Amino acid sequence: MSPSETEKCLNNPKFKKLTRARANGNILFSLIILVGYGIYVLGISFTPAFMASPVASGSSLTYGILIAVLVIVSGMVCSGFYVWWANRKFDVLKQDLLKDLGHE
Amino acid sequence: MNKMLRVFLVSLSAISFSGPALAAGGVALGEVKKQPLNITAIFMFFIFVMATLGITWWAARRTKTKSDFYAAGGGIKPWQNGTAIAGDFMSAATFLGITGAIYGFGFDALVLAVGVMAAWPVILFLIAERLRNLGSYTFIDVVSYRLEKKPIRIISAIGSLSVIIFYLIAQMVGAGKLIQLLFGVDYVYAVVLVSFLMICYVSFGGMLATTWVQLIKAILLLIGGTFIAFTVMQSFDFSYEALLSSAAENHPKGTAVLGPGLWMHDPIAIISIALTMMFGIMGLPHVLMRFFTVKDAKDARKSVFVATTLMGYFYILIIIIGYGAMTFVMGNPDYHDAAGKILGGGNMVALHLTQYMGGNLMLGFMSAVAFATILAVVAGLTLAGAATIAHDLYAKTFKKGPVSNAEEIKVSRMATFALGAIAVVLGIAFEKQNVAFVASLALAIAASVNFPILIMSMYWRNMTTKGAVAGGVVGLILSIGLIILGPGVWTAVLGNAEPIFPQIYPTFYSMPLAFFAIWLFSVTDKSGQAEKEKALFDEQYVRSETGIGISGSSKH
Repeated sequence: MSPSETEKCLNNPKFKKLTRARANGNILFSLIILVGYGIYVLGISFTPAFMASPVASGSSLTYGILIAVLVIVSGMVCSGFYVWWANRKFDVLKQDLLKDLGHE
Repeated sequence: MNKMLRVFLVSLSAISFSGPALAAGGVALGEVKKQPLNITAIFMFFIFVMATLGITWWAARRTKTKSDFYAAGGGIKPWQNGTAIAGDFMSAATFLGITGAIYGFGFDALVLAVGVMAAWPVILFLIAERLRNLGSYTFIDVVSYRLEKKPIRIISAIGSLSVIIFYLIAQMVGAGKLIQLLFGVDYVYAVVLVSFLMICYVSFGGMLATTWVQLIKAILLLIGGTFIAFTVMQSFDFSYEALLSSAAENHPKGTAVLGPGLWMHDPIAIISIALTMMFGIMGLPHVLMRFFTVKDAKDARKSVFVATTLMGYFYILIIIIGYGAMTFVMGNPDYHDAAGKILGGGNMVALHLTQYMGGNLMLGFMSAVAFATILAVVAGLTLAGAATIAHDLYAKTFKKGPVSNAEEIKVSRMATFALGAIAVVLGIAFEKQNVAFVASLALAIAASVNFPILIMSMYWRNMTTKGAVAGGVVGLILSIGLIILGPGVWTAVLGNAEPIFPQIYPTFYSMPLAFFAIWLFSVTDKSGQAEKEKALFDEQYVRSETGIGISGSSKH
């Protein structure tokens, strides 16, 4: 790719729209995962008593196990949702941009 | 105290999710006794080997160019690649090691599964697509995209090869012990057999064969795991409450197994292990390499989704199996010796449960799958090592002038043989050593060297060659140095009374300092070269976002 082509792409409003949409999406999704994992890790580090307490009296399910399973499940769900979102929104914007730039 | 520490190390090593730890587990949890020949297991393993050698023969005829060899010509489908990636994580150490750790420590062992499941979505969001758009065969292609090729390729290759060699050592020792335990084969024969099969797969079949071996094994393991978890849940009428309360009733620690504290106490240690798990995975060369086997960024994205879903499912099975084992294996005289010790050590818990639920036929099947899993993981590691040596070091760094396809494949095959030989020699040399630290070392280096350089090269315009090399050197020295001074080597291997550095994992310090060094040496780099590198970021940015100029894209 030549410098002038790069320049052209960078200045294309569709490129800006694409990268902004993607950056926002990626940051949001990553934060969801990091916050979930953070709650789990900091929970076992600093409030082990809470993590060991049952979610309802008489239940064997503890907050710790619940949170661990939730982090695992949210990883699966977020990945699925991200792929759905990226296929629908992000790839359409990208195809449009590539057409503009004369690729494909 | 010393015994507690050893148990702790052993369990930590389970983290290495690729089997090695097991080995260590076997060593520290007691003498490994050779088992009587297990005919079903050997028969099933024989079928697996025949099938995979058939695939290798088929793959070899399709492996003509270096792109075929390293990346299966970019022709792997997303579901296949995703299953193979999941296969890298659903290993003997996950199935046997994490199950054993849950059995012993309960809740605390879950961090080994949760860390992986936190890493993968982030790889999907931040790394997978850019990596595919920028590189061709290894992650080092990506980090060297706009930097001065020679120094950056050398430091990344050192990081990459260290991870691979340490993993291989752990794997080989693990394989030897496991096979001795499961099949009653001598340690040395077991190590040589693993190395021989791995060289066959990789040198003839390249990435295509390696992917299929991993894929088949992953499917077999999922089938076996589903069966065991299903039968466990069936025994509790599908009530997780009943599963957990019965586990707590049968475990000597009681309800403590449902909460944290049996294994880890110190917050810094917990955070360090959490960082190592999450960011180490993002720097594993043999896993990053798999993104180049699909045709474009969109397929890379789909493969991570498949991988994450399968892994999440498998980890949930493991949690059920681990807690289920507390009910059915703990206190069951069939699986304990006269002294009340569990037969074969903690790593055998999952297999005892398999036998309890599915009889000897199922035990034979799962033993064969456990062995297959080690083969698949060492093949992936060796291929990544061969690619680093032949592509990054030979073709792109030290050889002057262009290198033909045939020549590069030849060098890759030589590298494969060399790595196979090194694996055998080190596997035998480390047989009697406590290798628990080796697995933690591999992940810590991945988190402190490969990951910071990779993520910064993709996202930070102002990173220069000087910054990247400085960060790599700092990460490498700190991660290796602190592990040597820590309890894993200083006390457990060298026999000193007190470790100089208190934690097993150095990542809490080494990873942030590597990032700091990258930042410091980049912003103070005022050379003309640095300006050129920053200017090239625009082009890299456009390519990483749009895929214009992506390698292998001409084929679709």
